[in-house]
Amino acid sequence: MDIQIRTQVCKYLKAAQFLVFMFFFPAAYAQFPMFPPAPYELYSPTTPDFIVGGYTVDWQDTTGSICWLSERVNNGSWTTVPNTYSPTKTVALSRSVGSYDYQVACIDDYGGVLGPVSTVGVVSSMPTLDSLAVQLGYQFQIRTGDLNSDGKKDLYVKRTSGGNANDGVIDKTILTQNTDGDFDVVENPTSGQFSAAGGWPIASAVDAVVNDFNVDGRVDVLLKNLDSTVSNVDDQILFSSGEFFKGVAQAATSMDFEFEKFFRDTYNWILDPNYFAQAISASLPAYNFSLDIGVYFCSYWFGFPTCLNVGHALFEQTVTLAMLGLSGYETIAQAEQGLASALGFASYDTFECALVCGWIEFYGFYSSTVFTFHDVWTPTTESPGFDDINFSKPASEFVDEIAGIWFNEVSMPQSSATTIEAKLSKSLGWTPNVSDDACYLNPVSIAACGVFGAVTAAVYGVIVVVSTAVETISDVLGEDIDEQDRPPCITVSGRVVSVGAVGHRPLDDLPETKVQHGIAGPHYNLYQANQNPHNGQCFWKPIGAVKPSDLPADSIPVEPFIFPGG
Amino acid sequence: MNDIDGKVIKLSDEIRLSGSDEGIVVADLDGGEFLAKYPEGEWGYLQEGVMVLSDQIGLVHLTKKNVVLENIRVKK
Repeated sequence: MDIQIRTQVCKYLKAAQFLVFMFFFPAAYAQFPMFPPAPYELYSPTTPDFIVGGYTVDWQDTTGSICWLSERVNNGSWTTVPNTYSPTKTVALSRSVGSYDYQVACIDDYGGVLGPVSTVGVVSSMPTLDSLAVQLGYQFQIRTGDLNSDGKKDLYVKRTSGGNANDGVIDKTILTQNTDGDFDVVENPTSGQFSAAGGWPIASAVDAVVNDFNVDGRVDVLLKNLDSTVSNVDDQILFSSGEFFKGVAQAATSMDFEFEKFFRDTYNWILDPNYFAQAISASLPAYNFSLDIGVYFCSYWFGFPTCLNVGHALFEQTVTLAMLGLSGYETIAQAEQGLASALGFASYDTFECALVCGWIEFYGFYSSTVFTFHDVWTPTTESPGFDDINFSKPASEFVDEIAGIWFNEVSMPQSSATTIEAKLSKSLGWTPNVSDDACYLNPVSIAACGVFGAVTAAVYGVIVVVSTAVETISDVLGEDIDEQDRPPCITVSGRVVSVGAVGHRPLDDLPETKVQHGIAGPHYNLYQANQNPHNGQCFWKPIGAVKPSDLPADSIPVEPFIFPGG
Repeated sequence: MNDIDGKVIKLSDEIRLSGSDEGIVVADLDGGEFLAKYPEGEWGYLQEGVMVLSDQIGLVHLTKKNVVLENIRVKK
């Protein structure tokens, strides 16, 4: 019995030993492969795109491997082309009209390997291509709609007259607008998509300018005034595919800043053969733009200027012309003018004038408010936005020139400074680094600030000292100013206005037939003066409108408060 | 706060006030956003509406009621 048990146990142990052995040691055949390795990489066969009659398919040398040519007819199933096994690498074929796909297929110990596909279109006849002069007369229609329901307008461009639909010029193509405002070509639109797009409204305000923009012998289509129908997009150039039987566009290019710059540079190069040699360097210059806005209240004590800094904003950004929405500026002056325009001024001179004029307007009334505009342009290699400024000089010289510092100290009302700050924030999306309450004395050292501030207060009364005191109280203690201690509200014309006083804007002289604010015809818009209990700053609040006959007798003209703050 | 067309008025928006007056939003009390010169600590007490800085009027406080009465619009 014991022997039987022992024998049985031995059998189980041997079976387990066999299984473990089989698990850890591979089969013997693995040491002797059945198939040679496939080529390291397979390439698409060489075929004509379209052909009338017979054709030849060539593919890579697969000597030493087991490969063959596979064929698929009209997107059917793959079959082996007879007599194409390795080392064969070319075959002459004759097929009826249709679409034929080809790929190299191989087998090795790891299974099958398939190469990329080439397609031959066998046609009964090749389309004709008109001369460029004739193509320039082709007509196109543009429609807009939302193909993919993403809320953005897409484009459908269709050739309505001229040429052969398969001649490689755009015949009908759909482009979807992406999140950047550019357009992507829909490569293989379905008949349903074409049908839907054909029902979109015609964008009659968009001009289709036909020309061979890439000089490939086939006309392309420039969609001009596209933003008249599709908001916030650049004009587009749709390039024809240049391939017979392909009527969709090859690509769409936005005529943006970079596009314009390319052609501007090319034009300059045509005019000056040394243009690129002089203007282009390995690291194109770009610039960090640091704009330091300071606002000071200044007074003159026995002719000695004393200024208290009451506002300070520092912007530091890398600036490109594209960021400013500008392009085409080739000199610093032009770029500055563009910057001023971006900030809402007619010109850079107007920009500066606005500051100086503000100072002239304000000077002589209590004290002056000095506005400093300290701009530093530091070249970087991060952004090539300004590389087209002053291209008439080598880039290195240009860098030296613009790296200088311009310091313009001019004056303006504080409200204007705040407006510029707001415009910068809005136009450029900048957020200032603010260091308010830094007290400067000009030209005396900061340490003496308190002394001169007090002296200034003594000489010029409440205006300057209250300005400083208000900021100190509200910023440091966060407490309200007692009503009796609050500074008076003073307008730009010097009028002292009581809190609660009613003011009016100039007569809004509407015809009697027109109703605004519930009043028919001419009316005054009324405002009431208010004062912030935390900082003493005065402001207006609309309280309605009245007919001229109902204008309160004590109403005053509404105008900005210059102090304390506007 | 929304303008007369229902568009949300945001910080730094340029808006059209009554008549030909225009201004820029320097404090959005409803949205809790303030330009540096108009900190929340000083202007938050107004609780609602927006503060607008206008070249013609100076600093103006607008509330929902004013939007309707004054036909306040965000400039395009």
